[in-house]
Amino acid sequence: MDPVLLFQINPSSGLPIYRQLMDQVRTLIGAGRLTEGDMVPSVRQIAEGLQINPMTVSKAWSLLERDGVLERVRGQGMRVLAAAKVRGTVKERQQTLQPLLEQVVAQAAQLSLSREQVLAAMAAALKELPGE
Amino acid sequence: MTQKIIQMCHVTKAFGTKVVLDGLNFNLQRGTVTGLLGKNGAGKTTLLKCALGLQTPQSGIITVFGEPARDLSAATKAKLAYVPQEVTLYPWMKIRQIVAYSRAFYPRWNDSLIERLMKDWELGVEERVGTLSTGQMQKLSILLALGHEPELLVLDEPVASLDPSARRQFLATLLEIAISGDRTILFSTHITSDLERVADHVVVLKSGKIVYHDELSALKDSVKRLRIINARALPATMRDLPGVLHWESTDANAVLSVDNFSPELPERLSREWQAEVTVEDLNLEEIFLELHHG
Amino acid sequence: MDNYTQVLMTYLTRKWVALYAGGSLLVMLISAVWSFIDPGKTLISPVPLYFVFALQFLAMHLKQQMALPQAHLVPGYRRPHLTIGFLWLTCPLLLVGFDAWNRDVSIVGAIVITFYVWLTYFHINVWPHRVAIAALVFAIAAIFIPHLRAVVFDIILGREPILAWSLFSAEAAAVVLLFHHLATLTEDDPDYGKVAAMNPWDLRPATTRTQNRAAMLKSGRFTETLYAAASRRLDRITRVPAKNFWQRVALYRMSGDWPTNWWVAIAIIACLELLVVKQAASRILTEQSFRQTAMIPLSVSTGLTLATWFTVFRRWGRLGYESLRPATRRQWVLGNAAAILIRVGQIQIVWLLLQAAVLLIYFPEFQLSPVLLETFGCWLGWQILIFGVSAWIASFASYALKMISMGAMLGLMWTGWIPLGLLNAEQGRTLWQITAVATGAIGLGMCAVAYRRWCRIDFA
Repeated sequence: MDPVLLFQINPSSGLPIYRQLMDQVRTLIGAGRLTEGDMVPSVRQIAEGLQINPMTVSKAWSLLERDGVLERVRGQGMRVLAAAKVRGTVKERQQTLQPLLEQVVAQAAQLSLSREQVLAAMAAALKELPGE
Repeated sequence: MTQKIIQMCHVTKAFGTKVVLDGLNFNLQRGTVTGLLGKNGAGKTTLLKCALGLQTPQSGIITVFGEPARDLSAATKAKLAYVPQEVTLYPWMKIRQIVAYSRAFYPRWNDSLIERLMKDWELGVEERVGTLSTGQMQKLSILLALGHEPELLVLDEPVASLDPSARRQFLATLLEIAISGDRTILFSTHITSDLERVADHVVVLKSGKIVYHDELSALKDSVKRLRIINARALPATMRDLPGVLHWESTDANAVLSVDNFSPELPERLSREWQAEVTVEDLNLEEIFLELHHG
Repeated sequence: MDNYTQVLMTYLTRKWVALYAGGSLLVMLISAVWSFIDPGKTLISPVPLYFVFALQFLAMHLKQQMALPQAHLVPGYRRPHLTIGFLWLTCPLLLVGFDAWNRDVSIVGAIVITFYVWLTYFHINVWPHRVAIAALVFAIAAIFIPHLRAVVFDIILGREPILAWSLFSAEAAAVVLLFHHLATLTEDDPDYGKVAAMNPWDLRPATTRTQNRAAMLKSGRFTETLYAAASRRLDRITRVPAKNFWQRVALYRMSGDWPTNWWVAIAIIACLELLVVKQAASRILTEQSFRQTAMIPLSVSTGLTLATWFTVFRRWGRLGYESLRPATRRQWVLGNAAAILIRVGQIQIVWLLLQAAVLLIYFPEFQLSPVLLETFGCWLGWQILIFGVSAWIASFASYALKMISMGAMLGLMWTGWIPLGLLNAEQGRTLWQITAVATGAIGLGMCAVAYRRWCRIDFA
């Protein structure tokens, strides 16, 4: 898989590159573009393909391994773990969403949207999620 | 194998009455790509020159690969390379001759790498060095530094005269070196976007001291801007709060930047000040500005 | 008036220039007062010539100040600078006039001749132009061509008033033109950025030098032939990596801005040798006058060595970079010292052979005399001294300091002429012997001092 097609990294963003990679891996898994058993590109491939520092890729990959999203396969690289084995309680996973939710709420307040209008928009977006 | 390629301990360097480095401590880890950031005149060049033994500090100890920087052995010098900010190379030599000349000093030299880079960077072998533009001269000095595949590469504002495409090519080459492993790179720049792309560690030099030296990602994780809206218990002054770099406030609203961000901070402040708190991620340029406020 | 003091302050920031300029003005003042007390026999005092070196730097400084964007953007910038420049260029002439009056020669004549020399230097530094170079060549010719020399003396003696006054008008016109040129320098002018390097942080001279070199190197066939031999040598010695000290020395020898072309070097030395031949052809020498005559080839030899060191001084900006190549600091210092010694040695050997030839042809009676040995001893001691002092001077950053010390060493050599006129043969011999030993010893001492300093210095 060509890293350039999979990931879009902005080095000048306020979000560290490793976080961008981690978020995007999770998004790809969520969107079904990466499924259990898929091999993700190696650190070297990503670094060369996206022209970023390999240490940041390494960090992302290690943290994803720690979180149980990826697993290391000897001699071959990193592989996507089954979605069900994603570690963490529901509460913990909800915590991960929290910052994004706060942004949505703040933005909604600026746009003068009511609670019902926000929830309706959320429901429409959720329809995109696989498994709905 | 030494993990600390360069070690600087309590280094003070002054020129006349002007103190440029003030009791500075700095350790460069093996295998990192480290960017040195600082305002013009902050002492970046002096730091690099002292690190390599080209200038002597009034006090302090500096070692490179474990040897005192003032008295490096030939073997150690063969492991390092320095690209100064400005160097006028021998104008009468042709490019192929200056490459051969540099090569003659080193026990090891990668001819195929140099050939490839000369082609990629469009440096003609038969051109005389004296006829090159500033950008080409800069490319040439970088190229000469890469030929002997140094374990430590020190560059002072390496891309100052390069156009954007040349800069990209150079950064790509730097990454190649970083990827090929076990090479350490230290470069000074004030182009933060280049640093973000290529470096994994950042050193910020301010008033002769190092005010930050850690992973770039950690810096971006810990320096953030918070927007406080509709606060009902806003403190009169935020100066004493730990970690605050800069703040502005009116009656119920405020903007402050902190260097000790953690995920619970917004929630805690929201409770303490009974306000809405949003977090803004800052890129390196903005972080640099926040660190230099006031 | 505040402006004027500010402008004066800019001169004082150039420590060495201000020092030397002040010093040579003081010497001129003393000499003028001395000639009032005791006129002496010469027509014109040689002292104003020492002012020329200071003038060179003052001119460079003035041009540099006028070539800044401030010059035509800041109101009231130009006038103080130009006024003060005009003052230091012309006021010392009053001293020359006073000196001439004491010696009973034509005031206008003396002023006109001295000013010619000063103006030529000023012109070259402020506006490098064919006219200036022609004037300089003419001046040098006037020293050696007896017919022209006679005209110069006539002017000084007041016998050619018309010529003197025409020269005066020409010089006045030149001054007006030069100052007008300075006042109207803008970036469109090709000379705008061509200022001499006065301090390591002024980047314009570096850019200008690069452009000049580029222009020169692009002239194709000529440069190819000029560098061909050095090119071949370079290709030969870089074929294999340098493994020992002497192989590195071979590489250091090629690290100048321009390589030596032996034909050019020999041609220059031969031309200079003509001076010696001229002197030799017409003389019958006693022991003492041999010593006096020998000052000419000795001066030539000194000049050649200093010119060689000049190319070393130019490398200052690069030295830090070069010192990081695989070699310890000591090896690098000794290696470069050896390289310079070889270069100086090669040129001096050519010079020595030519002197031997002149001796054989014109003064066979002096071949094996002790005078020759003493002269040789002096020459050797003096060369060692120059080497030591130059090696030491080269380790300082200030370009101005280097230039001034070169001038000072030449000056020191010329002042050696003076005692010779006062001594008899016996005293001359003693003086020569003492000089040989003293200069040699001091020279070796300076070499040691220089070596220790080089092992410690900070690079730019």
